[in-house]
Amino acid sequence: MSLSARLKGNLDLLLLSVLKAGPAHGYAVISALRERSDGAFDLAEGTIYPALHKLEAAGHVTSWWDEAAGRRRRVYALTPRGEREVVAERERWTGFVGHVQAVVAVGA
Amino acid sequence: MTRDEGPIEAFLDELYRQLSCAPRVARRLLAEAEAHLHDSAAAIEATGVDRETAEQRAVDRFGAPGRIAAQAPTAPRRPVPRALALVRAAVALAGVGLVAVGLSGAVAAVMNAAFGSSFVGAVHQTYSGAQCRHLLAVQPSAVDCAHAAILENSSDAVSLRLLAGAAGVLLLAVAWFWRRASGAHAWSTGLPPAVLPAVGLSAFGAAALWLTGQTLDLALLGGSDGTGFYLSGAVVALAGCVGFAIPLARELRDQPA
Repeated sequence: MSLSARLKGNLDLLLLSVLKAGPAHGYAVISALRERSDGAFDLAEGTIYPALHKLEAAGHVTSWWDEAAGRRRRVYALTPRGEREVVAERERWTGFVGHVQAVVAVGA
Repeated sequence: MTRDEGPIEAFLDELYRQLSCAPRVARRLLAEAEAHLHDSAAAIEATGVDRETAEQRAVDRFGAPGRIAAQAPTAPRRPVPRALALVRAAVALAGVGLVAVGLSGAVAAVMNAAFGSSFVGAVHQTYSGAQCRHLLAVQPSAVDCAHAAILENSSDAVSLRLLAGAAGVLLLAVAWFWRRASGAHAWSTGLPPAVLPAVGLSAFGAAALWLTGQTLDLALLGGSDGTGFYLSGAVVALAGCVGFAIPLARELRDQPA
């Protein structure tokens, strides 16, 4: 499985985790994603917007227009439901990684 | 190159064309994409590259418009309004075609006045005795059957075509009021914007080819006699080609590379 396919399957968790640090607009989200992964998560930047819209439709994030330096940007922030979701998703991910590690480590 | 013509503008145009989501979602996605791309281009430009290169890199990083559009939520399909929009556009095109026929009638009237009724009316055709009696009855000033036929043909080439033109104006009015009543934007059909002028250019191009061929055929057979009958149509059809070629060229020019 390619890295982009793996990223796609976990994009919601990655976006929610970035927003856990505080409200941010899309460009800041993608920049944080790239920085935190040391450049490994270099996905097509535009793909995060449909993903953010879906998270908003699910009630995990909220958004509003913010104007700075003459340009309007949509700022996203976690909702209380999103806060709970990111904690739950993180636990699921940590458990999953632990189980995978336990399997692949045998005989390594 | 100005920013209004740069890679970001071309990208946003293409993204707009490919989005099939609800208008509000599309507007928001476009606004977010625009802000993102300008932020990204500004950051790249700050590393020392020129503006156009920075915009192109920002666009490349953003991903293909089709990919972004495919991930946006699709609006519920509304086949009936789209089909109605297509019918409305077809009615408008038919109206334009009939108005062109009417204009060719006006051209034929000018030709009749300028070159005499033989130029338009002398269509090479043989008439039966009954037809001759009818032609002589409706054209009492004619000296013989051939003269009556010329007068009748030249007159019909004007009156019948003008009648078709009036019907075309009526169709255009129906299409216009229909579009206004439905609140549709321009002649949007849901198809790529180049399709409508391409259809018009094809129809007028085919008509221009056939009419020009008939004109040349008649000219080779009998000199100038009767050539005006088809030439009057060919002139208008060629003008129609130009009329549709201009918006088609504009649409194709605006397509991103």
